[in-house]
Amino acid sequence: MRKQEKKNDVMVSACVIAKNEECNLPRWLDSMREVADELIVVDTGSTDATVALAEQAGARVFHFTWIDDFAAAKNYALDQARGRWILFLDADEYFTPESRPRIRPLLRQAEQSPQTLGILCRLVNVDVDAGWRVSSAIIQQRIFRHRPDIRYAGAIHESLTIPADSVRLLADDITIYHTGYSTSVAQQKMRRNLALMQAKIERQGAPEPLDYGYLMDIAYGLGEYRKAIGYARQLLSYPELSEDNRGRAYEIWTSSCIEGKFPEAETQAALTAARAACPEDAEFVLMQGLWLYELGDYLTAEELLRQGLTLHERRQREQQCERQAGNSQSVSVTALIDNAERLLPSVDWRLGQLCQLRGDRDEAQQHFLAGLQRHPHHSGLLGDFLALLRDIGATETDIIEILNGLYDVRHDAGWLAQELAQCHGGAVYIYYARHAGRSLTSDSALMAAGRYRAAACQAAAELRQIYGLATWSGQADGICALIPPRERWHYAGMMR
Amino acid sequence: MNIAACYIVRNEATNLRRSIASLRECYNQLLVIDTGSQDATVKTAQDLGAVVRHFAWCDDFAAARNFALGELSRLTPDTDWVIFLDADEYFSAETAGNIRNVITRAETAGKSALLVSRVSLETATGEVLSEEPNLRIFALRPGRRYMGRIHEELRDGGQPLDGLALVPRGELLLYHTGYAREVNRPKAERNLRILQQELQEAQKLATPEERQAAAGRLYMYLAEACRGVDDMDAALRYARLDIAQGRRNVVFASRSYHLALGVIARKLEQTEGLRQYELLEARLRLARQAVQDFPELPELAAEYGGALLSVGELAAAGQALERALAIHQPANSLEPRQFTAAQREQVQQLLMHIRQAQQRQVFITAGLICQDEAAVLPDWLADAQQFADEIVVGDTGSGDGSADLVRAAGAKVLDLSLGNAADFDFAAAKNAVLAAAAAVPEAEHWYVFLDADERFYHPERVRGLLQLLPGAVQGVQVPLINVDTDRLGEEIDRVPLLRLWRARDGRRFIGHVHEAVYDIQPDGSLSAVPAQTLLPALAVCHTGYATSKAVTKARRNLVLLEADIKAHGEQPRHWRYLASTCYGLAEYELAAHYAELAIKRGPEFVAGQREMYSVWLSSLRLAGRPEAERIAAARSALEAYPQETEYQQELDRLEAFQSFDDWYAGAGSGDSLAKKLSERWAGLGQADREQLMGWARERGHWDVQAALAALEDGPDIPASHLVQLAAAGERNQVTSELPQAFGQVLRELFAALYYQIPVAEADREAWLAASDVLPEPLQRVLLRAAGSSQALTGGHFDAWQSGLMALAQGSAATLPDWSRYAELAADFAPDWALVERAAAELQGKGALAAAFELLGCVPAAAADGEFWYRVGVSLYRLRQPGAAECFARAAEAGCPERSLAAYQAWSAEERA
Repeated sequence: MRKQEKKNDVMVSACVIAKNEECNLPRWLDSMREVADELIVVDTGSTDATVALAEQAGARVFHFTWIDDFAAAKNYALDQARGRWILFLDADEYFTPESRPRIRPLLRQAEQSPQTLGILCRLVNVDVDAGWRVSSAIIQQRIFRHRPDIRYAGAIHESLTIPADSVRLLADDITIYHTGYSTSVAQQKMRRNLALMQAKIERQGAPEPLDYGYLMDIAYGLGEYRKAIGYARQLLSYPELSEDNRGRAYEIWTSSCIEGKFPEAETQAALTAARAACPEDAEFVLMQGLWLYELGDYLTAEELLRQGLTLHERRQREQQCERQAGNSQSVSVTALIDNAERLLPSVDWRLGQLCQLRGDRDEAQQHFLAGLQRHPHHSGLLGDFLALLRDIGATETDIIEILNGLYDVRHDAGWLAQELAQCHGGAVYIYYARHAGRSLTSDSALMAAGRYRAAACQAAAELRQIYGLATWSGQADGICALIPPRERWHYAGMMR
Repeated sequence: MNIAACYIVRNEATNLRRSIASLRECYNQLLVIDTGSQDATVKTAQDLGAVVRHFAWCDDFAAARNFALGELSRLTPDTDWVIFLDADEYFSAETAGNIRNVITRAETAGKSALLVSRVSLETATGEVLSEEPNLRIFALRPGRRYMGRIHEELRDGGQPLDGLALVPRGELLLYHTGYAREVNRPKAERNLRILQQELQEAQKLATPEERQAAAGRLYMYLAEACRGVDDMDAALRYARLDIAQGRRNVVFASRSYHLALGVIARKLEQTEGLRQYELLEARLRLARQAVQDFPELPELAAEYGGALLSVGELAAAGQALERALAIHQPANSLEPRQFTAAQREQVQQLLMHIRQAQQRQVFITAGLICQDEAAVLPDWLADAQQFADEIVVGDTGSGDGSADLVRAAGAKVLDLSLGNAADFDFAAAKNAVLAAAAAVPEAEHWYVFLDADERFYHPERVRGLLQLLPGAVQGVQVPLINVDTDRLGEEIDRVPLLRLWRARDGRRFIGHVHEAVYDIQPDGSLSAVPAQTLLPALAVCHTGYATSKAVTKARRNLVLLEADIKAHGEQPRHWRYLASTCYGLAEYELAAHYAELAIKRGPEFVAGQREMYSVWLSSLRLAGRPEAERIAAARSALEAYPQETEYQQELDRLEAFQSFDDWYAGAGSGDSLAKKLSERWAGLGQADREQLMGWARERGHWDVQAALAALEDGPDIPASHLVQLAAAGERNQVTSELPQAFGQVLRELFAALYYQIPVAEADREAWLAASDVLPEPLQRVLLRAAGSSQALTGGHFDAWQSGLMALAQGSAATLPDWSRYAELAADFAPDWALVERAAAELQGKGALAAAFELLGCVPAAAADGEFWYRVGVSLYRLRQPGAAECFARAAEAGCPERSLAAYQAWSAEERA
């Protein structure tokens, strides 16, 4: 834990409520240790290593009996905190490494103006299972003063009540990553939320406008696109709808059409409506461009992608000017959310591919590079970038040098090795696998070293083992059916 | 100058006295290290003025010698040179007086280590066995230490010695008597144990270079030790490893060649002629490499000559043998002198034999009858042209231009396309060919009759081998090797067949269908061609059989059998055929049933039961029947055929599994299991260890596998992460992780096998064994890629596509051979839409040129919009001309591809 630098420095408490979070908590603890003076972990009944992990990390651990009320648990955590500022992130959220050093200076600055009670930062959903794909950004208040009048309310979708006259700073350079909606956990969580939501609506008799927003998110998350569109349109029918909620509703509507592979005309109509409603938003122009790329309409796609990019850059510049002029209060919330940003890596990727199709390798390379700088953990971009480098005759040493410029070997070697194992990494793979401490006798490593015979021998042994495990598990009929007939007898004993 | 003499001894009283005497008191210090003598050794040494020290033997020669060097430095720190002899060595009376002079001169010349010629004498007879230089005298310097538990070598700070010099044998000569011709087995076993330990230690060194150097030093000794314990295969393997390192600058570096050639010669003696072909080839290759690495050694040149002669390469054999006589091993050679006078004489005799053979007039007629063999005829003709003086081909009615091919090759063609195909007389046709051959009374006239799908592995040897044959030999059998063209030419079986014979009146083909050559006696009776001999070097490859054809044949036979059974009811005589047929159709339960019936019925003819037992045992295994049943079957098979190793192996494996079962039942779990396993593992040899691992896997004893992985000297356990989970009973977790692990292993295995294509012959067995584990459709794709004749069908498209993914995704440094992979998709013809889909998939992976090549197989009539679009995409992205035209045609043909418009616009732009 960081030591208090000066006696009069702000005192920061990081709080979390957790139940069986042994997978996520280490990341939270790591991120908070750099920023906070004390760590408060309120355990609501874990049966895994959550408590042990927290204690090891030097956190103050408290137990709170779960009463189906998020706000109660969170307020209990607030009661334990001793700091003047609170960082309240969920266990599956953490500050990005770049954001961490910016937090304390910001708090020191906020200390100067007593009416500043909270700081708004960006929260980005990342999908750990899809190569850390950044999905969408929302604005959240997770940093606030520790005061008795700032408390949580609401059993689910609890929110922070904060005095109405307070000033909140917008900190667009502080980003929280939220991994909770990764494909693997999302479904489960969505179902849980849906149940809670339905119970709430039943209690109150009819849905409130914002309930449609939650229902829409849940339906979309569960892949029930028709329903999601229905809720989105319900939400849009409210005249009082805030700018960011409207954007969100259009986003779900169009995304549902695209991901649900709805008829082209219907998708086209949704996109047109979205663009008409939010003419300043690059997001929907880019979405349309990406969608048309998938359909193979390369000409229009390229045009829209370039147009959307220009629009986005122009708005960025405008915001920049406002900020430099000191009008930070006037920076609009929508600009902060900037959902076009989540699309940029894909936009760079597709534009790069289009350039490559047309034989313009230089521009393709620029796009791939820009995309990777925005989103280093994008498998598709990396794969195409590497293929391009090889095409233009880059040696393995060149490639390692370029990648070392883009990545932090200490942190990214593992991810790079994993990707390079899928795109003819060869010696480059071995380099990063070694740095990541991966086995150099794995099938991938043997293949990368050109030791095909050894790789085949080893892989065959593994395959046999897997046949055995599949037979033993008794639930892997798909694999068992593929065992060649002359191999089956090996596992006959296990089946009896 | 201070000279010390040093010995390490145990129970050597007699030898030690003789050896020390031969030093003629040239030393200033005499040190004897005793490792536990029970005879008068110690007393003898002390009587002779030696300082005696004791050293507890620890299976480490270097340790003992280094101990001696250390003692010496302590006793007489001013020692300049050391003479380090074995007790069973002594200097020859003629040279013993020269020791001090030789050392003084070496010192002056800046040398610091001396190799002394050592002659080994057979203990009993005093016969000279070999002579080789050995390091026995060296300057004592700091950092000079021995390395190696056995066959220890002196090193300078770990590096090979500098300042090495060979003492001319006239100046110093050692005699060595410890050498006996008979192998000392316990000693070889001890050596092998120590060497294997050292090899394991070598694997633990830090860098690959160190590991290689440390292991590389051991191979030749390992080879000798393995030979000493009669493990010929291992001896050969280690010798080959040593040879593969290239010539090393050590004493008797050629020993691995000598050993390997010796082992192969012994194997040749023990192998029936039918199976000698590969050994003859191996000997030839090895001997050729030996004379390249050791051009100065006459005995290796003689070996090479002998190897060439045994395969009928007369001219080359003559040259090699003449070289053996002409070269002289240099005086300063580190290699022992082994070319004896007797060998020299033998070489001269061989040379004479060759010259006589070369003068024999042999006229060879190559004959063939064929029909529609244009695909294979060019190869057959090219082969025949290498050995035959004339070629006569009877064409029985080809429509594919076979006859033209034959004529173009300058061969004689007989038109035999008469008669009705149903009762075609093969014998008559072949006899017509024989009759058309030239008459050459002045020469030895031979006929060579191979079928169109039969080829000599070495046609150039036919003439030489015939010239070498004794005049009495009338017919030559060749080993005919049936290979499976569906499985990379894997051997199915081999049979000896009469394919060459001397021309003689009345020697002709008999039999309409299964025609064979007979001698017709004056009285009209038939007799076999007399004095036949088998020539192992003249092996023939027959490609007529294949897995796919075997299945077709089995199906056809089943239809015939069923018809017969329908007509006459199921009879006992049907059982054996039903068993074989069901086995061929992978109906193992039925095959086992009928095989058992056939066996119980008793033999119909002599050779019959063995095959039934084999079918029975294999079927029981493949059907996954209980082991008790299989053990009983294996026992009864062994009772009937006690010599059959296949049955013995089956029984051994089953019994080993049972013994592991018994052991496991009493091994407990957790720590108890780990401890018991560690003990059991330590006591097992390599083969048994593998059996144990297989047992644990097939039984699903994940706890055993996890415990094995945890052993210090334990094996690598495949998919160990999943095994750990399974050992912990996490069935659901395993189930959820399996699909991903499965997919990944499939991709890796597929790619690892594909990248080995074309598969080297030496790797074929391992390659097939690994590919046999893959799901069948993937196997088929790989086998086809590796050259199988069995074409893919539309049903294999998914497997082909999975393979494509595997190849596009791997970690291999190079991209796969896309062109070969694309070619496989041509099998989907005439489903041209599928071919086009394959081309699209290839383009998606960036294999543009390969996709273009593949599209080349689509006929003009089938060229639709999609075809032109795909061709255009390849051309456009390869920056080749013509893309715009293709896109225009695609548009014209109504191609629905959305991106066509973009491509049209881009390609038009580019053209402008």
